[in-house]
Amino acid sequence: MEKIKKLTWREIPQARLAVWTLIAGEFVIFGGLIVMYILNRLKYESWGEMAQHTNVWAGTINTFVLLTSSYFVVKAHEAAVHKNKAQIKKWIWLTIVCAFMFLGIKSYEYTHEIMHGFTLPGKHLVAEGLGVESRYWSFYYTMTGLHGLHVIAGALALFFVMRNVTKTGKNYQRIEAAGLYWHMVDIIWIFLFPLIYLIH
Amino acid sequence: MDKHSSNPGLEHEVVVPKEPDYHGHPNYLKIYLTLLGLFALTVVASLLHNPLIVFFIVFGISIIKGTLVLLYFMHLKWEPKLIWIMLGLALLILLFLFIGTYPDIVPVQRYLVPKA
Repeated sequence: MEKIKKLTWREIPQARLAVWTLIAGEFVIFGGLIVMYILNRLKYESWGEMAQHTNVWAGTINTFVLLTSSYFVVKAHEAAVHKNKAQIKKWIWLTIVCAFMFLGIKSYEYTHEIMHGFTLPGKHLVAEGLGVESRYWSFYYTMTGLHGLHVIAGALALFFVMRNVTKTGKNYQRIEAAGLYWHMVDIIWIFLFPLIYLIH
Repeated sequence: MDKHSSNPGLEHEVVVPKEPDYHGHPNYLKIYLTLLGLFALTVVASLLHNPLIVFFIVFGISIIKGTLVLLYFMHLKWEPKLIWIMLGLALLILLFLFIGTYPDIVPVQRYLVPKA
């Protein structure tokens, strides 16, 4: 079996170091929201009742879609190591399709929830004297909305990197850097899904 | 240098140079299937009735899933200590945030002054 040499901090490519720094920052942003959500969830039992109004099936399908897209991204990275442009194109396009699927399902969920009066300011709930419960939806839309923006950013990054690599035949390492960002988006969802949808 | 078939359509193997910082590629399919298995376990565990037990189980599984993605899909396992320290600091900040704000948000009985 081949022994793989571990890199020192001086040897790590700059692009990867930059993306890891960005990821550490993103972990603090989303982690902060998740910590606050957990603390509020411990305080307000009624948040569990609000969580019952989320679409668990949609969340489950979206989790499957994101996990699968992460697999596609590592396959694209593997193809980049072999400098195989056709395979890079195939795996990245599959990832982008997953991103569209995720956003489509999320839009369907948002539409359904807004139509039932569960909005970001939660005026409908506040009017009924359910101010605490309306805060659940503030967290819900902030966390999932911010995550959705990251899905869009990740899909765009992958698209532009793929286009550059397949056109020029250079900068193959960028596939890994963009892929790292995509995996971060996946990790955040891994934590958001059970917290928001499953714990009633 | 390593031998890889860069084009599946060709019968002969083509020698392709590895990237300078090559860190190996674990069995991604195996990790993906493990993630799907853990995901299924999360959904099944959520059917339990006690929310606190559900929380600990599903959050614990999420930590395992996140760690698998970090170590193998993101190749953190092969990254230098600097990256580990950077991520560790981020998690430490979150731990401080949790500990620091816990008494302010969640009522803690022992901090309350008993009424006269």
